[in-house]
Amino acid sequence: MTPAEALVAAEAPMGAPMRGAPVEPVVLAVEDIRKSFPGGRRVLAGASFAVGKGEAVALLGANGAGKSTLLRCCLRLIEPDSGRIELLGADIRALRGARLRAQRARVGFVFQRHNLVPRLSALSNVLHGALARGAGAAAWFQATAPKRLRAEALDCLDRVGLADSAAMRADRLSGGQSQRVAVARALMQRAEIVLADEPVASLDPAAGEEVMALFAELNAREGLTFLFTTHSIEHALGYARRAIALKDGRVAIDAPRAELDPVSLRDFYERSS
Amino acid sequence: MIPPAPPSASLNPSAAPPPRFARPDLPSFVAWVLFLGLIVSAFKGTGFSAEDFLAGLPGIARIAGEMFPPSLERLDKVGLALVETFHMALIGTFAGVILSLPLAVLATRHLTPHAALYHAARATIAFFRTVPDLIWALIFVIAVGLGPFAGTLAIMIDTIGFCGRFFAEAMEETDRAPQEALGAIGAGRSSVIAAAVVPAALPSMLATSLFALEKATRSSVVLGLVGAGGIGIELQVSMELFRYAEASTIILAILVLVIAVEQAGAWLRRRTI
Ligand SMILES: Nc1ncnc2c1ncn2[C@@H]1O[C@H](COP(=O)(O)OP(=O)(O)OP(=O)(O)O)[C@@H](O)[C@H]1O
Ligand SMILES: [Mg+2]
Repeated sequence: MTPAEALVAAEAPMGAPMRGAPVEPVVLAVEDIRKSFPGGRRVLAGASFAVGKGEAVALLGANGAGKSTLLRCCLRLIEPDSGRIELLGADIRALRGARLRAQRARVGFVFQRHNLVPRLSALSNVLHGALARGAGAAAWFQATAPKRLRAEALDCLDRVGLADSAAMRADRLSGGQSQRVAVARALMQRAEIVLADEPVASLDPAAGEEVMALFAELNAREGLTFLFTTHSIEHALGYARRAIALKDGRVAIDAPRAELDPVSLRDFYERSS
Repeated sequence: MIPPAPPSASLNPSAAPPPRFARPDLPSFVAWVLFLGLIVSAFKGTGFSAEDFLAGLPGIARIAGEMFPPSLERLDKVGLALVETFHMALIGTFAGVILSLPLAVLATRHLTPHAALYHAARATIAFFRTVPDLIWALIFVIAVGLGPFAGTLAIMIDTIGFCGRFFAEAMEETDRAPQEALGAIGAGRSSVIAAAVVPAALPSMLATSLFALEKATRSSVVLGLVGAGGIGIELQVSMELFRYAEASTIILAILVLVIAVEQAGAWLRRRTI
């Protein structure tokens, strides 16, 4: 299907969206998710897509299209009204309590900002990734953590190029460094898939490229599955193998990078707003 | 220089006078009459009289004269009582701060496990705060007998009422984003509290604890008057036996202790921002 056909599909309200085939095996399958907020309009109106193991996927859409809502629904940080979400082999909507937490623990989540505990060191913040693995009190603070955990956290910082800043307090880090520490925490977590909600939107262009390149490198080198939202068409085309675009609460475009070009995506944005 | 005229008068001379000067309506007139009546009757009720006060001045002068110079005779006893007073304040505050922590968590809306626990914790804290420490001391003297332990318990309860409230407020005001980030990766409630909430609220909680210690030091002086230990009993005995020179030593000792604790508290607060 050509981009032009994709746009035709996006135009048709009930038309079947263009489908990009995920790589097998599928690690995240979202089927017909619907969500309305009380008193608000319908944000998600039957969105479906899938992400395969080791894929890097960009999620696009105008402001208010429901990207953040969709990403949060994947971890049940927001409760969807209906639909099915299969995450790493489990129906996430059927889980409660400890089993829900255990499933969340396998997924890294990087927010646009304020990911870190400000008054603690970069190393402590990375250490918190081990909370996902049930480390409990041992992973609260670097000072009380066992040597083994500290060494592992330091290694994770090293993998994002920040071993030198381990002792720095999180509120003294630059925006780009903070996001890299958040990525290191996901590594510490040994996350199998990382969801990132506009991870570089509050960074300057150079720092943004650096963090996106880090994600791409981890994806290529370590096979980390990576789903991120962005408003940058350049980032979507440059760092993802596939792009998904939301419109009117549904998936309007779902296509591999080879079938997309900046002009058609820009056009999509213009039609969305 | 001409002072600027009140804007309402200069800008619009024909406007109605400000409400303050308007003729009061009937309910507020009645309220004023009642208020003045209350003040007058309270003056009568307390036997407030300038005459009696003037007549008492020579007595005050005489006592002040006898207080000087302070007697150094029982300095060792006074010193020991002062140390006991400080011990009471320290342990009462310490135990109170420790017990306040879990209570404050229950009394924080977004951390409490259940709404019923939230209301129970709030009510407990309010109750502890509302009953004066002297009454707690009277109760504990009956319960555990005369001596510093009763005073220490009274200070502990008073501290819980003070710290419980301000700790909960400090936790309520912490940035939710880092807490949500840890929740998103499957960290349990206690880990989120220990690793994200407490570090963020720590400077405020430390300042509150130091204020609690200052408050406890001042009140531990008075608790001795009901037999709950500390230097208060020494002061009472000296006054009742007309040993004013000894009393002035005790008062000076109390002054030194209170000022020392306040200065140390101020110094520590400056260092923990
Ligand atoms: N908790 C909430 N309560 C009510 N409405 C909400 C809530 N969260 C989001 N919304 C609404 O849902 C819609 C979608 O929001 P969402 O944040 O998912 O969009 P988005 O695609 O991430 O937008 P942006 O590009 O601005 O981040 C918006 O209209 C928003 O106002
Ligand atoms: Mg968003």
